[in-house]
Formats: sequence, C-alpha cells, structure tokens
Amino acid sequence: MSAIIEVQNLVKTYPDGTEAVRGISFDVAEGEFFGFLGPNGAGKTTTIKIIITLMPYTSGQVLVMGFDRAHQANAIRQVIGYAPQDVGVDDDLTGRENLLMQGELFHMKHTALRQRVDELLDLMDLTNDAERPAGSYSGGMRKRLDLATGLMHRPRILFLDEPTTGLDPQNRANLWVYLERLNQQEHLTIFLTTHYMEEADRLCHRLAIIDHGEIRTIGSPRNLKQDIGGDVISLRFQSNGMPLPEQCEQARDLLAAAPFALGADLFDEGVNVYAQQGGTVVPELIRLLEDHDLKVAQLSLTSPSLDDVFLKHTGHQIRQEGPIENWRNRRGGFGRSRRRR
Amino acid sequence: MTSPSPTTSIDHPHGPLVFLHETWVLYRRAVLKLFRRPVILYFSLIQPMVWLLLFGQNFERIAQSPGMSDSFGGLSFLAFFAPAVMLQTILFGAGQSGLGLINDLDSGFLEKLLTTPINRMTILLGRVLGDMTRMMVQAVIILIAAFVGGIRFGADGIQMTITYYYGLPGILAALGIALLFGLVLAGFNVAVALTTRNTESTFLISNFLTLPLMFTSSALLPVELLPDWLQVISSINPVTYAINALRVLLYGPAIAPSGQHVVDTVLIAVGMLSVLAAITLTVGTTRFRYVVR
Repeated sequence: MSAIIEVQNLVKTYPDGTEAVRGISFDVAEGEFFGFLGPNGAGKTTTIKIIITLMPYTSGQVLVMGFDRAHQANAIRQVIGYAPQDVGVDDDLTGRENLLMQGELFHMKHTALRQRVDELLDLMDLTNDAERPAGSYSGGMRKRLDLATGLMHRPRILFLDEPTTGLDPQNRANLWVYLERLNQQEHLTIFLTTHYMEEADRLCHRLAIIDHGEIRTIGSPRNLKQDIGGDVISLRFQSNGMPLPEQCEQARDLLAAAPFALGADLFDEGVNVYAQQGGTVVPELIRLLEDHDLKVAQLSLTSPSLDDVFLKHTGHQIRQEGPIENWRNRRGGFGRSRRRR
Repeated sequence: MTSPSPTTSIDHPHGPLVFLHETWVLYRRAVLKLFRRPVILYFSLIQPMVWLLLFGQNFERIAQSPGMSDSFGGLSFLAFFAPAVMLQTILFGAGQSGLGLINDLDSGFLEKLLTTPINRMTILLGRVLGDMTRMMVQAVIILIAAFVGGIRFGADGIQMTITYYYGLPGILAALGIALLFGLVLAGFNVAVALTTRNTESTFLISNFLTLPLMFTSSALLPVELLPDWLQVISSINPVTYAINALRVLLYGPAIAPSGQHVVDTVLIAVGMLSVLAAITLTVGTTRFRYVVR
C-alpha cells in the first residue's frame, strides 16, 4: 500500500509558546480508515487543520498525494474533502442547493453536477428531504449533508473532525454505517479525529493515540489491544470510599514483578494488571496481595479495550479532559468564541 | 508515494472568468438567503417606514410655513426627508451584513469554504455584493413608499406632491450614490464583525452609530436651520454630503446647498464617499485576509 498522506516531524507552536503539536510523524495509506484518538487539547484538530491547509505550521513536512503542503496548498484543496466539527452547511438553503453550490465552486458542469448531487443525496439517504432547508434537518441529517457537500468534487481523502460529537448514540451508530459505506464503496481514504473509544475501535483500520501533542503509539485497534497481552484485571483499594494511593503503588510494584502477570499500570484510582487467561490468575493474585496486607476493595476482569490501550500509553484515562484546548480559541481557529464540548 | 494520475487535472482553473464565476456562486447564495428569510427584509423596513410616514408628518407644516419653505427648496417635508430615510435604512441594514459574516465564521461554513481551492476574495466579494443588493431593494422600496405617501387626494383630483426633477436618470444616479454609501458601510461592518467576531457587539456598534450620524447631518433639517455647533459637525459628516447629493439628484437645483452648483454637490459626495469606501474596504479586506490566512 502506498502512502497518501505523509507527515514528518510536524511541529506547531503558537505565538504564545503553546506547543500544540510536538514533532509527530505518521503515514496514511490509500484507502485506509485512519484515526487520531485523543482527549481534547491533544493536538488532533491542530494537526488536521494543518494538513487541510487551514492553519500554518511551524516546521516539518506534510505531503498529501505527493503535494507539498508548504507550496502546493491549492493542489491539496483539490483532492481533499472536509467536514468540520461545527457542521458547515447553510441552513437557509435546501439540501440540494447546498450540494449544487459546492459543486459549482469546483466548476463542475451542468450534467455532471446534477448527476453527482443526485448520487450523493441517494448515498446519504437524503433524496426525500433534498428540497427542504437544511435548518429543518435533524442533527444526523445535517451531518450527512455536510459529508455529502465535502464529497461533491470526488476528493480522494475525506477529513472528519470529531464527526459524531453532539450526536445522540443512535445517530452516532447510524453515521458510522455511512462512513463505512464511503470507505468501502467509494474507496475513499478517511482521516478522522475522535475522543470516542468505540468510534475509533469500530471504524479505524489503524489509529494513532495522541496526547499532549505527541503520538504515543500507532496500530490497528486489534493489534494495540493484543499488545496489552491477555486480559485486564482492574483492582481498586479503598478505605471508607477513599482511594489509597500508597497501596496502589505497592500493589503495582508487587504485581509487575509477579510471574503470572505480563505487567501492571497505575491509573487514577487503582491498578491495572495484564495477564493471559485472567480468570485463572485471580485467586493467586488475591493471595499474593493478602500476603502483603493489601486488601482489594473491588476487582473486575475484562478483555482489553482501547481504554486500556490508551491508559497504558499515556498513563491516564481519556475521559479526564486534558488541559482544555483554549489555544484553539486563539489565532488560527475561526471565530471560536463559542462553546466546545 | 502516490503521484497524481496524469488524466485528472489537479490545477484549479484560474483567471478572471473563474473569479467571476466563484463570486457569482457565492453572491447567488447571499441573495438566496435573503429571500429565504423575507421576514428580515420586511421587518427591517418597518422602522424606516415609521420614520418616513409618521415622524415626517410632524414636520410637514414647518416645511410649508412662510419663510421656511425656501430653506426646504419648496419641497414637502416627506420629499425632503425621504433620501435621509434611504440612507438610514442602509445604515441599519449594514449591521445585519456583519452578523451574516460572523454566522459563517461560527458555523463552520467559512472553514469549509476555505478548504476549497476558490479565490479567498470571492468569499468577501460575494457577500458584499449580496448586501449591496439588499440595500438597493430597500432603497427602492423607500423611494416608492415616499412617492405613494406624497399622493394627495383633494377636491381638484389626485395630486403628486413629489416630482422628480431629472426623472429616471436622476433616480438612478441617486441610487448610485446610495450604493456608494452602502459600500462605505459594508467595508466598515466587515471590519467591525471580523474584529469583534461577536454578533452582539457588531449589532450594538452599528446601532449605536446610526442615530448620531443622522442627527448631526442635514437629514432632518436644512443645515442653515441647525445650531452653529451642529453645523460644524454636519459639515464633516459624510451623511450630510450623501443626502445633499441625493436631494439634488431627485429634486433639482432648488434644494442645492446655498451657492452650490448641482454638479459640485454630486461630485463632492462621490469623491468623499469613494475615498471613505476605499478606506473601509481596505481595512475590511485586510481583516478578512488576516482571518483566512
């Protein structure tokens, strides 16, 4: 497989010194469904905005289909589609008018233009609502229209910035089906950012875990989970409902060295132990801890999830929001005085 | 590494025709939006109508009174006041165009446009031209309303109190002046909107400016009837010059500022407004380039 996006040592430092992206490198293969998984403020959106020519960068190299981001921005714009986190459709225009306008901006000609509009309306199941103003659409429909407008000019790569943020679970699952369809039927390379584990797990062929402007690991969700090895046993130590950090550390040291465990990590309120066939080692594990006067308050046994992968590589859980990405509100972002979930 | 396939042209076309096409597509969107929400168009006309048809009535006798009617060029107050209401509507309406730009900024619409290879300036141009169109529609409606409001039904039949000295060419030239005035404000509002990036502030600023600009100009009364200090302010207020030009183009030399030739009145206004438009549009464009850079 050949790389359709190549990023080398990309750095973005804001004028105030904030290092949003600290020298990341990765490739995306043609036809791949690639994801950036990370908390808010990790540098996901900054990276995407640099690649799609919306934001200048400090140093490094970005190639999209061989075009250099530094001086071939317009060539890149020709081959990419983008669906921003804030849906970029005009609510006063109908679904069809939104699509027509986008196509005309790409100088598509009459017949080809109408055909493409019908095709995309059909693909996104919007044909019956095509003549209604987009403002009257549901959240899921607006997002689908947004995707469709980004596809009018048959881009080779579609960039999605947190595509399902703000959608309810049903609409989210629904949109996933459309995204998979685009990737498989249209052979579209898709680059998405998300902070939803399930989304990354379900959609991405490969994903990069990004935190504090650095890529911590890259791989397929399956491999990343396998790398953890076996099952995850989560332990909590508590006294009267209060976590006991010292006991956690003691247990971690103990278990990391135990022959039956593949490793152990601390997380905010407890310890994760990784082991093959976790169920069989639990009795042994409890015995070992009790021998050292460590009393387990709570134990759970799970197959590894991306949450565990994230924890293993970043040392914290994704749910706790990182240092909120207020740097996005400074220059570079567009008029973002508003909320950001 | 993937190299672009030789059969697909990767270069976005460019040239003046492409620029015009992209501007046209975005202009059409702006106008379409306008007619999708006609309520805004109508309601923004209610206030000027109240000014024109009700407020104007208060002054009608003054303009007709002996000794006064010379200052008013023999016009009814309605006729005298109509050009001022036209400009006032443009002043008010300009605030709305700033709001539209902020909406695009906030909604992700602009961001999405910027990932397409279109010329950046067409985005601004399409919007400004759309605003101009709205202003012209409003200005024409005001002119018609004034004309209809000036029809009197008396014992001796129907009588028009408003007559246009230069006919249609005069009216068209007056609309041209109004358009130029609108350009000044469009540039100003783009600059304000892109600086504040906030709908409330933009709306406040444009609202705050409208009435002071009107009251310190020749909008309500001929300049010579204003107190001295207001005469000084009105002599540097561009609204005065725009209104004077509108009046002479519509009603002829009788209403020209004392001792001034009609052509001079118009030329002074055109010169002043052109310079101002150049300034505000430059600032607005600079702000826009900064935001989309």
